[in-house]
Amino acid sequence: MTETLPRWIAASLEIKEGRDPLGLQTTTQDRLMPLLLPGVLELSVRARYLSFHTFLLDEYRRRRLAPDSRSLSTFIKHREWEYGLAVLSCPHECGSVPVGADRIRPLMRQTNPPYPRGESVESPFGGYGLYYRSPLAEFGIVARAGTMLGDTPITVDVLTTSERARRIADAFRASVEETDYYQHWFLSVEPLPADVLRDYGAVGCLCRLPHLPEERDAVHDALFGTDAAVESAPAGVPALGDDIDDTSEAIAVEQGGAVVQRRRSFAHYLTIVAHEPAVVDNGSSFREALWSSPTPVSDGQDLVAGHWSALIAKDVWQDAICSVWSEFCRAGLSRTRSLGRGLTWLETQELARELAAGPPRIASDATIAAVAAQLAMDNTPFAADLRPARMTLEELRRWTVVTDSAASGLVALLELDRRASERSGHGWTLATGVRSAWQPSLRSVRDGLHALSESGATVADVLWWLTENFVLRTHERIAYSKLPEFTFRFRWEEGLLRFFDHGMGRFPLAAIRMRAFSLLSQDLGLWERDPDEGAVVSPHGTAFLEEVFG
Amino acid sequence: MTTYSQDDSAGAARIQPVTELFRSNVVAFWATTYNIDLALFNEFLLGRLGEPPLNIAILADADRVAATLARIPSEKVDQVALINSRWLLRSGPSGNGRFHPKSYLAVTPTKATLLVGSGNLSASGLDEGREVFTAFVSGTPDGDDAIDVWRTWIRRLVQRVDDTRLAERFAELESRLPKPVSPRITGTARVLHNLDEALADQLVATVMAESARVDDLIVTAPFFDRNGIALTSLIERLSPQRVTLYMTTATSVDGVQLATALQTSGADVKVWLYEPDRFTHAKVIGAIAGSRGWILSGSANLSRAALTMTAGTGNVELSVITPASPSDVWAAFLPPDAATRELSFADLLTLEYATEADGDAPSVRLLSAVAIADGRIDVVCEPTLQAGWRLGDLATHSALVVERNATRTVGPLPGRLVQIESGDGTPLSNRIVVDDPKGLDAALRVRARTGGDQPIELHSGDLDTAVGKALVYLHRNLIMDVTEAAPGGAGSGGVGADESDSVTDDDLWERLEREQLGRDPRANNYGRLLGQPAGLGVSEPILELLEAMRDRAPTQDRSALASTSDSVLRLLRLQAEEDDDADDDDEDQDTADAPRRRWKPETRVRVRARNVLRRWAAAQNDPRLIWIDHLAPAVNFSMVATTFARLWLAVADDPDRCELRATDLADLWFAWMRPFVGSGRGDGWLDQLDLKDDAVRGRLPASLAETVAALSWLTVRRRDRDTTIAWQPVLSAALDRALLEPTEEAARFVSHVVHARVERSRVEEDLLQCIEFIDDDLWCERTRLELALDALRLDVGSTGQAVSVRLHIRGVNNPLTDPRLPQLIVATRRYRRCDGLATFSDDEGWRLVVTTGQPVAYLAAGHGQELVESAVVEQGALEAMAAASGILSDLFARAAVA
Repeated sequence: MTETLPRWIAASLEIKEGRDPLGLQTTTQDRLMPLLLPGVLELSVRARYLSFHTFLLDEYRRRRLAPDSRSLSTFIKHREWEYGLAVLSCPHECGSVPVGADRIRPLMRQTNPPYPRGESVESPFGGYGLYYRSPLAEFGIVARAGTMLGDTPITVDVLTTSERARRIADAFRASVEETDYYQHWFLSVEPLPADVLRDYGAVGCLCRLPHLPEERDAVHDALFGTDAAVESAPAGVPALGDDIDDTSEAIAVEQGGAVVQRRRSFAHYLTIVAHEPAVVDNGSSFREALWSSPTPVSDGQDLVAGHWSALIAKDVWQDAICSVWSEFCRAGLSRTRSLGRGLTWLETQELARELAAGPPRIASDATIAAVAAQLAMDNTPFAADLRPARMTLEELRRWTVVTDSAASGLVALLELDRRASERSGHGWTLATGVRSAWQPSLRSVRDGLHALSESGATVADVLWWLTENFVLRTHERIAYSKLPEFTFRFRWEEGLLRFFDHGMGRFPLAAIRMRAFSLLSQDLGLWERDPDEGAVVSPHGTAFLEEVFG
Repeated sequence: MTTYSQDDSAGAARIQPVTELFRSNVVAFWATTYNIDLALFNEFLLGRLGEPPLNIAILADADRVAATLARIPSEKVDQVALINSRWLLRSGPSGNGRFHPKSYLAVTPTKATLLVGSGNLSASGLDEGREVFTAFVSGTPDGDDAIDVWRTWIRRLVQRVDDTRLAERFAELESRLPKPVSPRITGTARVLHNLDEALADQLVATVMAESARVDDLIVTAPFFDRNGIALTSLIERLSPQRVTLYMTTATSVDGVQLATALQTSGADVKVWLYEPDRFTHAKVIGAIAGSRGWILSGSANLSRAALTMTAGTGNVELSVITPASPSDVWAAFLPPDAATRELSFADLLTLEYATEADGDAPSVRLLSAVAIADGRIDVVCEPTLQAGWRLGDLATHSALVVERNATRTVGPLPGRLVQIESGDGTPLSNRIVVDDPKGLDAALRVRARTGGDQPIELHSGDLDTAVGKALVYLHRNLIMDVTEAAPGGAGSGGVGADESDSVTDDDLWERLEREQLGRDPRANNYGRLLGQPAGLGVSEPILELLEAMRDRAPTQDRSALASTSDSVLRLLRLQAEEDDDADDDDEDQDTADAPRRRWKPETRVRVRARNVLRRWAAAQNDPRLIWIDHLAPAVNFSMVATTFARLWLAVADDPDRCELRATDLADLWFAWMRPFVGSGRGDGWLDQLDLKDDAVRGRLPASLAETVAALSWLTVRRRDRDTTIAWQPVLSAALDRALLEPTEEAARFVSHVVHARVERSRVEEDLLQCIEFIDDDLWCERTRLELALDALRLDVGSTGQAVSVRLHIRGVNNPLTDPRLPQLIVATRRYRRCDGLATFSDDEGWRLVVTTGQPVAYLAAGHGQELVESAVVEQGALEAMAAASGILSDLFARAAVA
């Protein structure tokens, strides 16, 4: 074939679903979470992995193994595999799930011991790299490869010189150093006998931390302690530029540093565990309890409780606007298919205003102030069994998720606004003022809603306001920024709005560390199960609460 | 370089217009299109073109542009912010028809690429739709001819538009177009327009000139004239035996009329449906006569306005006629992602002719609007200004008056999208985007690349040297040091595509930094080097680099040379020989031409250039560099290797002509090689790659290993022990990584440099000797470092003893649980070619004796310890253990050790 023959074109743009089409997850994930719970990732859930990995890094240095990242990665992945076998062989039958369990479990079912050596996680540095490296670095326990040592960057991750790092590594070593595994099988490449793993699991398993006070205290100190003469840095969030509509910097400055904030957040968690034990297992309970937490006993608790309740409110707002988005996309696709072309601006406006049809059906020409007043009086024109004012905030959020309509989103927003009006406090005020690069803060949204309401805007007006400001404008900007990944659900082409039907639907909330709170604090012995499997704050936890909130 | 993707099902090369046209080194971009997706261009495609100076002009159909602008609501007028400010949008001249040609010309400093085809400047036209394009590249016979025809054609269009700003840009474009270097070859692809002669006439004339009889006429197009007259006319004129029609159910034609016309044509007619049955916008006509064939492809539909009329009466169209084999003609009709299914005549009857509704023409034509100094706006309209008219920008308005023969607003008007309105605000005219002369001028003349236009160490005076030019080229086109990278182009701010899940270790700061790096327009260039399929010759960026370093105008067809050579060294050597010949000619002819610039030795330039290259070398292991592309350091390395090869030739030609000396080159080459390939201990950048992966290997520059061999040989050929020892692990690692290929071309290259014949075998032998050099001190030191021992000494006893080698070591606490011991034993055995050896710990006091066929004897430190023996050491057991990083305790009975 010669160069000058005509050729059919091939796409350069790759169609992708896009995980955060309105830029709302990022407010939680990248703005609020690093402020509210600095250093803890969603899957950094088992406290003993903090000591295990610290111990591994220490062993690696002590044995003077090759100082390059590839060798360290292999070393860690092999040791994680063996540790996973030991956890699953734990004689205490705790049911703990190690990193890489999906690979280790089938092997143990299909193979008789001794078990071969292997790797359970493919990515570099295994579970350490995925879940624990970043927290350990943030806690000041690990110096990551590339950290400058004088004029030279270090080539592999190493422990910092802090006493806390030394203590945690020594504590884990002390727990396992008498095992046959550590003494004879640690670097061996031979298959691992079952009794060696059981022996290792008996003292090394994830479940053992609450029973090893010295190691537990060392891990506790890693999360909640600071090094002498080292001032705790504030939690870091990227600046959004010169913008008054963002309070993240104020939060970072006022919280007293990442360690203080972490301590307050965990202590606040213990207060809601005491108030509603189901929060340790149930996400909805967790969200509702953070919204309706007990009366604060100190300024510090008041501040942090305000932070977390603002996060919950922000997520209700996200699901409310997600309902508007979801129905707008569905209706737009349907309308354009029937027209055989995209929508003009006026047609788009008309489409959004028609979203009042529900469910639940709301009169599009009713003023938003009137609808809000009806909601406040629990006197809604909806079906008899639909009483938004009687729902908890979490029930309200789940209702709009299930209903998945713009009208339900509007109702959820109005009800959220009513309840938010009753909130105050510095923490609440600051955290509701946090925005992302794409979306304004909840406080700005509410201000806008109030202004509309005062101007006599109708339901249809507000639906268009929501669609135009938080859906239409934002999604296109985000999708353009992601090109050549094509994540558009709609875009303006030649003055007409064209909809795309790939991957259309709701987008999820970002994780808010429910499992991390629950498992880390349990591992640290801050709460424990009673005989009925309920959660009870332990004496250790009570002492921690006292220490933090007084 | 043309970017193609290969579709397995069809076996046909495909073209990616977005990748092909929109590159960061483009200096001019001109397009003709029927419609334009303004948002796509402003928000994405424009950003890919990088920074000014950038000459962009787009001619589009006036009615389509007007319809698009008319739909823009006041809330979205920001869509037009860059139009007629950073780039020029004008209506193409269309007479009574439509302005319908689809052509795209992208000009870089070294070449021009022209695409002529069916796709509009929109997402479907350039990326997602079923479209066909023919690509032409300057420097080739077809390319030079096509670009010349296009240039002549567009010049005539510019004249018809009669717009001085457009004409000014066209003049600038002409100055940037590469001069044709290839002689015209008849019988190849030609660009056809219809300004003078209808396309059908030109097609028929071309075919009939070659053959009086046509076997097959094959067609596909989305739009016919209502009754299929253009097709019927073609059939009548060519009298084919068979007619084949490819279509979709969306094909626009009166099916009854078409079926009737085809049935009465006398030809054997077959109709095929594309499956999946989706809109197919390509327009292709094929004719086959015996063993010959022709393809007409481009913008022209199967309508009279497109095919049988000239521009003015009909549409303005642009096509390409390409001679092709019959199989190529048939292949041109098959989209790679589609199959075909035969239809009956009855199926044709369901086709409907779709009319495109013309909106009501406004009573006033607003022809131009230009911002003047005080924020007021000059307009030109038809008819001329009448009382009460005003100019509105969808938000505010200002009355229009005639002032000094110009029609202008009485006050400033901030908006960019304007229309003439009546006194009560009723729109009277089409909308137009106001020209911003200052912005347009700046876009042509300002070079505002953030982060500096040259490496910080260099001074302006350095830029006239070959080394300086090379460094500036590298700096402007590649990210050699990420600390210099700057946030880049338009339309890509904020949180980017690579949002990582909060559960990963990829924290926010890293992602933000990654995004900023990704927006650096230079990042796009890595795809050009890495995306080129094997065998397409030396890549364009390397050619550009060499061009930047050359001190004379190219005298040979560079593209042809590049396309036939996949060896950088060969290209360089041929260039050098060409320069030598030219020097001879210069001397012979003693011409009065301007004197050739000589490279000057300049100590300060030398120091600064060394500093730049050292800094860049150190920056290659910055982990952020791989965010651009995981092979980005390899690209940088290969470009620097090419630079070094060129500089070696300069040094060889005349040491006084080069700012860097041979010792500099040797020294700097080590500074680049050492971090790149490492020392065999996993400390090189290459160690992060799996070079066994064909996908990785296939993306690395093909001749890199050959260049590395040549440059390394030049550095180590006069070896002393220190140089050898320093280079040894580096060369060894390079060899292991298949990055050391002493080819015949490498030998020819170094021969040219050293002015003496050097055989390939000698290059290979010298490199291997360097790699294999060893003595006991070196072995001990290397092994000590490798195994992180505190000390290692080797004593060799007399041969014939069971244990002939003694090792004295420090830094091992327990030899039975330390994985370094088996590795040390195996390494010693291999080095000394012995079996039995004794190891003594000079600091801990233990002893260990190993002999194959015997148990390992171990005496722990301290008084009263008993000798412990393992199981018998079988042949190969220690080697296997060492390979698996095992420990000696595995050989001992566990109870005994415990």
